[in-house]
Amino acid sequence: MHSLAKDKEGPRVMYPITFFIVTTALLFVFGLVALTIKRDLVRLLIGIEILFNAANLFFVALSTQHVGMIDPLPQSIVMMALVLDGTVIAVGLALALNVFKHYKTFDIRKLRRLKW
Amino acid sequence: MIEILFILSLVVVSALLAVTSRNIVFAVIALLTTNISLGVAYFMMGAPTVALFQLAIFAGAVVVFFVITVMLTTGGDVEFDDDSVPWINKTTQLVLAAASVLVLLGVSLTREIAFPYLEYASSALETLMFSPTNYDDITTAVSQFLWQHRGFDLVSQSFVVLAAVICCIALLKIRRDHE
Amino acid sequence: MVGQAMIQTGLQLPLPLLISLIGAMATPFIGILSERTGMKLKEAWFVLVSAASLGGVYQLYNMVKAAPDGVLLLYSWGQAPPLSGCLEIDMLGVYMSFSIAFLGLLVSIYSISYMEHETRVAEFYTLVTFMIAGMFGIAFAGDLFTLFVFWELMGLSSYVLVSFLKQNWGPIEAGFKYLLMSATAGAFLLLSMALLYGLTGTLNFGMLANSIRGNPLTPWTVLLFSTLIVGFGVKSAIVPMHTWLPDAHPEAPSPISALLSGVVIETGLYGLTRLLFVVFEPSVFKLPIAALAVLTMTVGNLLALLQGDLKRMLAYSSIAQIGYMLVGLSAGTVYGAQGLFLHVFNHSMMKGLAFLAAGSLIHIGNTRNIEDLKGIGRAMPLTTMGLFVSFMGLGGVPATSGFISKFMLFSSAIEVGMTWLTVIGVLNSALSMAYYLRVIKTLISDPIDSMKGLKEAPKLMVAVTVVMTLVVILFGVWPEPAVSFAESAAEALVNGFNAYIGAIIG
Repeated sequence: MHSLAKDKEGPRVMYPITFFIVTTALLFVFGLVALTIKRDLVRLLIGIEILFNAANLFFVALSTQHVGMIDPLPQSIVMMALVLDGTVIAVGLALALNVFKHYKTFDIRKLRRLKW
Repeated sequence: MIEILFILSLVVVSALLAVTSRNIVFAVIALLTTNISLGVAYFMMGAPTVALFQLAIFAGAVVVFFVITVMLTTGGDVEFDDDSVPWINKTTQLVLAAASVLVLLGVSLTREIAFPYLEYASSALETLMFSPTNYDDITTAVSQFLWQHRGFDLVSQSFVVLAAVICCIALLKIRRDHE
Repeated sequence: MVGQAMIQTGLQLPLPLLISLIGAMATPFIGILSERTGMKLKEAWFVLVSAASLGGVYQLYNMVKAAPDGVLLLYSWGQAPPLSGCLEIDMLGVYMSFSIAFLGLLVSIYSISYMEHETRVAEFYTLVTFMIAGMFGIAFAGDLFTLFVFWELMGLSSYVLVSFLKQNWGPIEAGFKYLLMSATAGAFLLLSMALLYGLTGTLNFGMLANSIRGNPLTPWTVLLFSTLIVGFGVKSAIVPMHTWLPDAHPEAPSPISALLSGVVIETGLYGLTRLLFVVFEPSVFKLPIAALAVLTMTVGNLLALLQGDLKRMLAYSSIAQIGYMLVGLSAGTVYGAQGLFLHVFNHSMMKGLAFLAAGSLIHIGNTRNIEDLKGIGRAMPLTTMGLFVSFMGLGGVPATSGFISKFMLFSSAIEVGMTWLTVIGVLNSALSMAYYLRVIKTLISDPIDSMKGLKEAPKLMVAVTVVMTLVVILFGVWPEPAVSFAESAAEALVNGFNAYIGAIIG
């Protein structure tokens, strides 16, 4: 940690928010498109994870928008949000495992019984 | 400036691969790349604790869950490859990746999207914003803030984790009487 | 000692939340204990926790009433908001928690009998209690992130409860669909949190109201508005985002359908209402919400008309009812909000009753298809009577509680000059009677062979449906207590705003 402390550039760098807005938008598009066109349970969860990543990235980016200043509020919130998102993914994977145990596939198309 | 753009391009490209790869194991590895490079990005942006959590939970635990699920089930066998979108192959993946990097770099370098940061802030706004001199300052401040001010959410969050454990037990428990 | 000081200055939790969290934590151990001893300890514990949380709500009601501004502020370890996470309880929070605890108690009694022959019952009770705790937390939260934490608690438990009967494909797929859509909404909620933080620097409701409210719309606030609609709209089944509901509600065990339809989607609507009132002026969200209301109720009613599955029909009818509630939100007045929250309580009773009665019918008749249940009403008169009363209430027939709240909702729309909305609402109500009456007619006509010789449902299940029937009729002929309670809740939301902000900024 202390070697980093000497790094003058270190935490004081402020990157323009534009970078992160564009990245967030792209990640959201990828996630949402994946959720609409993919029909495989694990891939759908990967899409969800990308959506979470996008929202978190934007949140963290906002915490550093004052030049040379850091706001601990968004950072601590993102830390807790990471844990919450992780639990959602874990439960989703448990559901997917359950599906595979009974039907030996992850593909929703082969199994769709419910009407829309 | 260039280093963050490089990392963000890596994030975008690997996220694209994660959702388009035909083989599920490649997809999970691409997701791992996304999560790790996002962790690095957080570190560079001045959020070392978030980076730590990102690497530990998203790049660590969650990816391990994904790997366990995939390996215990399909094992990444080509038989289970995803062909739901027929036009996706190596060429279109490359084109899409190049296009998204172009969008990212093009917009980032030529335009400036202004975000009205704190424009609507109330006059009574309290904030613990501070000017760090090194990473230690940030780590200390964030963990202090987390414990002192967000103790309430932290305690509630532990109940969410507990609920998730019970959820997994309820879903995966094997009982002789009906299996 | 730091630890000691922390405990003394304390983590203040309101009684209902504390009871249900501790109760949920203890349930697995009590489950093991009751397996060892062979006594019905876990059932007793489950009902006891639900009853105690209802008692806790009463105590909270008195506390909020005695509080100087009608707002109770609770936070942890002596760190006052706005920076810290907090619970800010006003009359609306108490009102919502009352609806939740009341239906929760009735459902818990019902599910003892319903889940008798299932395995993993202890986990079931734990998750139901966690879900109820999550809803309490949402109703009490005074900070968007605190709300989000409890949102996830409610969400996680409800996904697994929907897919609880995991031997069949239906529940698993429904639960997975629910999880995917809700998790997407969660990502949108996180994005809206980021936007709110970026615009105002805080997530505390009081501070938010003090900062962003009343400013003119910009592209960023429009984006914020849409992320809020998506984030809360999926859980509350507003129409373009409703597709999980008609799968999840029929496939869940009937007590869970009752809870989901009776309080979970309304809790989502509560979150939306709270946030919209905190962040925007009513004039901003009036028209978009009115459009969503029309879409929601029309689609809900039309699709309900086409269903042959009893629980699926009820699920679509819940979507339509959410549409009626949105009418009150779009009015944006005290009267509209009063109608909204009165309808939340009434709907929790009526739809809870409908799902529980339908659950009894399905439990005995062993099919969900309305045509296959033909004539079962003759064998189960009390249950069918309950279903009939709840349908009358849902259709808005006078002398049931549904009439009063619907009347208030529709007249609030006239009051703010949206007569067209009222006309559409009344037409929809008339349309909805068509499918309700069709079901009742099928149930009480001559029994088909497979429905002959059946007996009434187990006593406990019948008792719960009878109690709920009486409540629906009681609040139809004597609505004053519910109306005045809903009025104080609506007052706290719309007019008690300064007290709500003042508690934070002081």
